[in-house]
Amino acid sequence: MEKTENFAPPEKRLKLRAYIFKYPKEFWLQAGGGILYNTLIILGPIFLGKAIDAAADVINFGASFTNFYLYLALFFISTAVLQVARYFKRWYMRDIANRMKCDMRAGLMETAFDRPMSELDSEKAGDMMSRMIGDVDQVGRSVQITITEIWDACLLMISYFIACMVYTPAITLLAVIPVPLTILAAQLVRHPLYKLSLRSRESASNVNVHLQHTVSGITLLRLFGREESEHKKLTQLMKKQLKWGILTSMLQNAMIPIYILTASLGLILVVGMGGKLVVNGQWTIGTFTAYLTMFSAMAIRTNMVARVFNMWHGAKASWDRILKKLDTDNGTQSLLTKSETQNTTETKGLKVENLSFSFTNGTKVLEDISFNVSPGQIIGITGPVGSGKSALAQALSGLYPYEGKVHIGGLDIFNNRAVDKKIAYMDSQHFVFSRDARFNIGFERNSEEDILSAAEAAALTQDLSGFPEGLDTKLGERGQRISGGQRQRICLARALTSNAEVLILDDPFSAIDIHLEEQIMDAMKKDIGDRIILLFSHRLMTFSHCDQVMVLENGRLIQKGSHESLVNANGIYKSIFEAQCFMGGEEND
Amino acid sequence: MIKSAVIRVLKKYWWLYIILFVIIVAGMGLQLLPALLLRDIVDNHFANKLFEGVWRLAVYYLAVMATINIAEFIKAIITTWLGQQTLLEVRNNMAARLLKLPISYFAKTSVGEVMSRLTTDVGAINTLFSAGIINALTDMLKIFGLVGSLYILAPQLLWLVAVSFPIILLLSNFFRKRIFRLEKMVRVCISDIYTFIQEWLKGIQTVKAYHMEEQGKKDFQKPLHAHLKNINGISKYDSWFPCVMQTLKALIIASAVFFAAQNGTVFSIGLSIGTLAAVADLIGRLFSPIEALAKQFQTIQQAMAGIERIKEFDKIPTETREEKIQEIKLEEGIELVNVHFSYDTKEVLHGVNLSIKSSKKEVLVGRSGEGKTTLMNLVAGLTAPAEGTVRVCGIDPFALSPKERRKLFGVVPQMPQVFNGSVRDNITLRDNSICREDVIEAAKLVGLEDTIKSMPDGYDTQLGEGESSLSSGEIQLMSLARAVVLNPHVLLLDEPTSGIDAYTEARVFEAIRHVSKGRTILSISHRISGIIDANRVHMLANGKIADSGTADQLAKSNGWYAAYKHVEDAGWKFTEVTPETV
Repeated sequence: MEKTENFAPPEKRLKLRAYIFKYPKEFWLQAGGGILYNTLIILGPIFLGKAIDAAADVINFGASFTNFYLYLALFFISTAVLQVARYFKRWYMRDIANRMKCDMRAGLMETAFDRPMSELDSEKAGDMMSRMIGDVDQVGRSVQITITEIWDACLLMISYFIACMVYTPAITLLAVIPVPLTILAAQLVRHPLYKLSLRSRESASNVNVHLQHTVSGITLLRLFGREESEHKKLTQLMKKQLKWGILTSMLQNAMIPIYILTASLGLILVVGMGGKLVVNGQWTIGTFTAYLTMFSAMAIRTNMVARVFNMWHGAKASWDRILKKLDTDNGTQSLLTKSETQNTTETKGLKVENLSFSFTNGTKVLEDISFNVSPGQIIGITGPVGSGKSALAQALSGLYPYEGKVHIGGLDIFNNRAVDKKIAYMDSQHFVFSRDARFNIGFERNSEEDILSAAEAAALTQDLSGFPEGLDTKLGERGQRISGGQRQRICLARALTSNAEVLILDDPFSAIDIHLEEQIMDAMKKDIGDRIILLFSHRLMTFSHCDQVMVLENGRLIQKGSHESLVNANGIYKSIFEAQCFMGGEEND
Repeated sequence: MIKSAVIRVLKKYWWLYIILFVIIVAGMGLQLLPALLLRDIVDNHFANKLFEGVWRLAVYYLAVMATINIAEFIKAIITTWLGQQTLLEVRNNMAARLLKLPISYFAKTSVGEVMSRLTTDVGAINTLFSAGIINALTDMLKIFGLVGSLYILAPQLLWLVAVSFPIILLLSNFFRKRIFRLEKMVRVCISDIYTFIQEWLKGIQTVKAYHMEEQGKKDFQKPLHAHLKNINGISKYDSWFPCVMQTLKALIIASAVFFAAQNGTVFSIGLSIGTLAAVADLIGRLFSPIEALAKQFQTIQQAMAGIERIKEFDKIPTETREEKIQEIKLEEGIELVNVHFSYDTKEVLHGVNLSIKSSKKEVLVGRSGEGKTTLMNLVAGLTAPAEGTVRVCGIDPFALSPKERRKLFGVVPQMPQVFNGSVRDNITLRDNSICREDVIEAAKLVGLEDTIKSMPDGYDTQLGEGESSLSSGEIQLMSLARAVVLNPHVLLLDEPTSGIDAYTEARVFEAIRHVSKGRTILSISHRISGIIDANRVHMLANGKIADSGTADQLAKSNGWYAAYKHVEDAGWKFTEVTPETV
């Protein structure tokens, strides 16, 4: 058992088989155990029978106990040895199934991480959770039961079938006709069962998604007194889940009596036709009972096989749901490898030409934007709500597809491995991980020194010394243990620690007092070097530090220039600036 | 929680339980019929070389089989139905409890953990209610029956059973205890996986922007390995247990036959060879329900671990919120007297006194981390103070019913939230009693009407997780529309303009001014624009109101003046102000 080995899907991640054969050693061990156990299982009863016969000899003819002891010992030893084989079968099968589940989970997560942002926008955590746990478990369980049944049922059926054929081929062949019929019946319900299972799994996902939203938004819901309505909606969704769950298991259960009945049809033939043989004196009663026992055992196994088929139709729905999230063939990989060959002789810096950008839902938010930024410059970008500020930040992050040209050092930025480390993008969500401040700033990549100097630049030093464990203080889910302003500055420090050439800072100061903002701006300016900083903000005072300011309106670039020139020119910038000065300075009068 | 769910289902569907009971008893009787029929065929027909009537008996045989299977089918349906109903009740009970938990619980607990308790933990007890208990009972009954038969057949060998049973029990107990412990760990692991998914998907944009994908993949291995370790632990026990049982069975059969043979010969107590075979067969059969029981151990243990986790959830103290019918006096404002509040053990508010007159707009300022939002939550009645009193319009807001609360308060929280649903749903929060006109009115008021109209489906445009069709400023405006749509008397604004540019900010203030007539407004701000047309400004510092007054008054007062001077010089600064200087 290689404990340290990381879980990962097999190379052919879309083939279920590949997940099983990823563990060939375990597979063959369990197969060996299964084959051995099921073929030699009859030894036990045979030896026990012999022992009883020997006992009869002792009682009736006064024979010695030797044979009796021998067979009794053989009975016990053979059972014990076979149980070891059985243990191999059971343990290695379960081990494979468990590892397979972990591999699938790792695969789902990897695929999610590797997908482009534009697709991930609509990814719901609740839905992912139900696929990751519920669906994967269902597939794992089904694989385990199926393979187990291959040994337990199929092997046994085949051996019984051969034995029956030895007794009487005619009756056996006739009586065995219902067996394929049973399998056929199982195949008949394939489609409805698949559909019901899919519905049932989807409804479970819906419950998860709704629950996740309710729990995440509980404060707001409580403030607005909407808990009851959310509860009602949840109950509704749970009732739907219940309905589909019951229907699925009903269809699965309803088929079982049919399977047993069709399989039993053969039993009647055996009783009737075998009976005739007995009556005619061709068979002894002993032969008849032996044949009947074997035949019914086979019939019961047929039912098991049919049930396995049914289980698979259900599990297929789960597997398809997993596949949907495992399939990476929609673009990611091909995009990541391109453009290394692009010409890199172009000028350094950021070059944006005729950039247009649309949200994932198709709304066009940026049109025909062009500008150039040289290394070492700070650019301010502003505009009213809905003017496309955040959209421009998104487009320049390289995470979302756009039209037009955005080059850094002559390289196209969208999904480009060669460029993506050159951009640090601080979005307006100010997301932090629940882990400690050190991780949130440096991501285990930077030295303590780097982290501290970035924290200093982001005016965090004082805050950090106030934290109970300094840099090692856990921030709590969604950064609940720190204030909004601290969260914002941690995100800022994160951007500053990265070695990126271009920093995109979307609204980095909204929860920060003006004096801290000044302090941070000074620090950033001092350390800028060859970096480019794009500062998206609505507070125009900030821009007096910028080399250039751009104003957006309705997705277009309408003004460009230095802060001073824009303040003096007639236009939206001037009016916003004056409004802000008026607000900020009203009390000064 | 589980008990009450079971009782409710029992009360509601008692007749189903009766049918189930009848079917189980009748089914056990029917099980004997095929064997009897076969014996009849063999003894009466074959032995006498009489073929007549064999086909008829064969058809009877089939009929009996059909009846048994139909009974089994009905049994399966009823148990699934009852099991699922019980699960639904349990989940419902848990969801109801969830809503009664204090806000502090949610602050401390990850979303993933809460979810795993309501989903997979409850799912784990499914088997228990659907088939587990009933099958276990049937198996127990079988064991009693078989022990009885053994007593009749060979009372001399009963001691063997008496010796083997404690061994089996001890072995099972060993197995049960370990599996139970591991099952509980598995539940925790699943909760950790949930938490991981929740966190990393929420922050996926950050993950992508900082190329953290590989880190994420690496970190995800940790909960996976913990999960494998525990499920493989269970699998190990689960694998060897039946094997040991079978070996034990062989040992006991061998001993029984050994002793029976010795008895039959040496002591001649009259055990026939037929009895010997029967004893071997009986003991063999005795083991099959025992083994079936053991097989169910894993599912039952899984269920027990689930139950334990649900019980833990049940033990989390809920808020005792006595909803009282209180007379709302609109002429009274907001009154806080000596309010103390702590998170865990850390006190954040040390005796806040605050008085806001009705229909006034007042602002609370203070540096971040001072407890402004906490104070707001106290005013909104989301939490109760540890000490002191909070009165809004003459009533205790904590004792308000959710419906009354929404009528009285409109709240704009710091972080605006988008819910899955249409724009309209996001404004009404799915309250269907709010008419379309009111929604449009609210949207107009906050200046969002044109934006919504230009969206593909207007008010029916679907918004969702990771919303990107509205800008953050527009989401803030929607949040404001949500607050004013019910025309509340009290507005609580927590930094309502923090993500909004000056242009829109002016528009929002205009909207607030517009709705502020006759309303009491308390807003939180750390920016100068927030206090512009406030009647009074209160400053929160070190867990107390450090200073209050109109902006002008404060300018003249001592403590405020220092800070105010800074505002003049540097724009805005509260950091230096402490009560000592006041």
